[in-house]
Amino acid sequence: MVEIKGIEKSYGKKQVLKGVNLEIDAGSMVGILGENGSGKSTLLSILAGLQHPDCGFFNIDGKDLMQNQALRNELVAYVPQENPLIAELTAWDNLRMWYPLDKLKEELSEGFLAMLGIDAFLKVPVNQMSGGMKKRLTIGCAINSDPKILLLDEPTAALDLVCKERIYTYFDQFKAQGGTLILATHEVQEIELCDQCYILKNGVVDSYRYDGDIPHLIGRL
Amino acid sequence: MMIVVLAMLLGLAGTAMVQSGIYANDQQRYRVGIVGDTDDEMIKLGVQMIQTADDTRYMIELVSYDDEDEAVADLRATKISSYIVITDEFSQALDAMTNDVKLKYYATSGQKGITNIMMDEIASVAGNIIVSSETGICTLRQVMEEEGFSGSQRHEQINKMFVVYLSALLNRSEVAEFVELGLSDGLSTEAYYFVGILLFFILLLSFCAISFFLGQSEATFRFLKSKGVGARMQVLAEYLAFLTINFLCVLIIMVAMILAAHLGLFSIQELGHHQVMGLVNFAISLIPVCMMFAALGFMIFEILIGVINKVLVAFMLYIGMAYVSGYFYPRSFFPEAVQTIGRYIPTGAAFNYATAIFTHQPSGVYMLVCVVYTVVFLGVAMVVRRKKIY
Repeated sequence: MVEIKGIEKSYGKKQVLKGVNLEIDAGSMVGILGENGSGKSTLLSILAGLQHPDCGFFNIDGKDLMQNQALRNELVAYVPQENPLIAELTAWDNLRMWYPLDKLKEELSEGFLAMLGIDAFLKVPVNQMSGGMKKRLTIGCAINSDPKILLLDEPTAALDLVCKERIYTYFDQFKAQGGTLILATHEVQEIELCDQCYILKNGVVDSYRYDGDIPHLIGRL
Repeated sequence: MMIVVLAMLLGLAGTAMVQSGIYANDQQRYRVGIVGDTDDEMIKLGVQMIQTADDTRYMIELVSYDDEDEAVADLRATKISSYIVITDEFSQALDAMTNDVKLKYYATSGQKGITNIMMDEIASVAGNIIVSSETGICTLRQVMEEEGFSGSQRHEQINKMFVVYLSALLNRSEVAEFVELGLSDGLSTEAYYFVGILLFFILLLSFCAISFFLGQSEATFRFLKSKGVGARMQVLAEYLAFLTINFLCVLIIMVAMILAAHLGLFSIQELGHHQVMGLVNFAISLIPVCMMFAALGFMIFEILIGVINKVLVAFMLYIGMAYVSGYFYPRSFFPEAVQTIGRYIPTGAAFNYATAIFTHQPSGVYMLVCVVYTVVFLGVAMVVRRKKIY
């Protein structure tokens, strides 16, 4: 069980998050919806440990991740919206920054990295990769520590359908192994895949169940 | 934005210096030492003229020394730009109106320009003495006329006196003999240029590693942070790689220099008979300087955004810093305020350190300054990186 309680964050006088509360079951996928600038990326960056909240808790199975950075690094993986890879290096080199050699070979042959199809472009430098390849490689680098929670900031924005499908297949596998996914997203396809959605508006989250009614969704944002 | 801020800061510093009058008081006054007896009438007249004439008093400041060793020590410490030795023989020769003894003018090789100025001044003094001699000739003619000497007698005596003056003054074609001591900012000419240019190249070497900063995105920093690699570790790791490239470049340059020294293509007085070993030791001693310059480059590239900004600002900054620290031109030529700045900025600290190594002086303090600068630059880079992550 993942618990997020009373997370607040202000930039100067502007309070972006005014007490975000979420309870997420292990093995589920949660979508955070909201307009641009509503605070979705801020929430994810706080959960990933990039920013300190003004107050609030982030627990997994009763363990406080806000106070234990090492545990958070192990249990939480973060995939940012932009490409964080080192452009001059190949996929292999980027992966080698995070994986021991034995584990990398194993993951590439039968693990999540194989599922993401990274083995097909190991020798390609990042600056020659397509958007989909970069995103898959980023996810591959992020999950080196076998995390329990995967935070993704608009993971499939501007990707083609084949690439999206590959990533969604990976999401299913991740969930099936008890992992929890928290996505900030605008994609209808992803919203449909989520077990639970929340709308972040005016600094607080509201539960939302998507029923295919896009005008209604737009009205809620 | 950073360029504008930098330009404003430099502008303000310059304006403050000009407004405060420091520059006006100090501007390009050559401090020239005089060793020996200046009681001689003729010499006293010349000294007085240099110190009072409108066109020289803002240019030359004379400092008296009883002992030539004191003058040499001050020249080495760049407290004076040159010195003149007035021997008893010269004073006696001047009084006897003979032309066989010359003034000795000692200048460092970096200050050849002053030789011309001194020649002009000495010629000016001689010219003024001639005016006085004309007064003497006129007085002689008047006295002889009053005493009843005939026109031909007067003419003959005046001609004789005129010839004596001419032979004593106008024919003194080489009033001074100029001697180069080969010193610049405490180093021999070869060592001075070697150190100055080498340090400037090491400063520029940070551009070799600029590719580290191309294509870097804040997403990378954030991703690294999410993996537990914070700003401090990011900066240290990148700096290590950055420094390694700088070390390799310095190594290539030093190997070339050592080979050249081994082949006898150049030699440096300070290194004595063991040129190659001296250069090897010097190359090892440069490690703190490399660390400081790499940290400086790293900090500048970390602060600035955009490749053009990074290269342009760093280059402008390096040129300015190198110039005021005496890499291209002896520091002693600058006003005192600029010299002080040039001495304490990182490039100056590096020059002081290298000079101390070359002249076998204690270099611990200068090395410590380099290390402190390195820590400060890396600290600033870490703060900037932290800001980029959050």
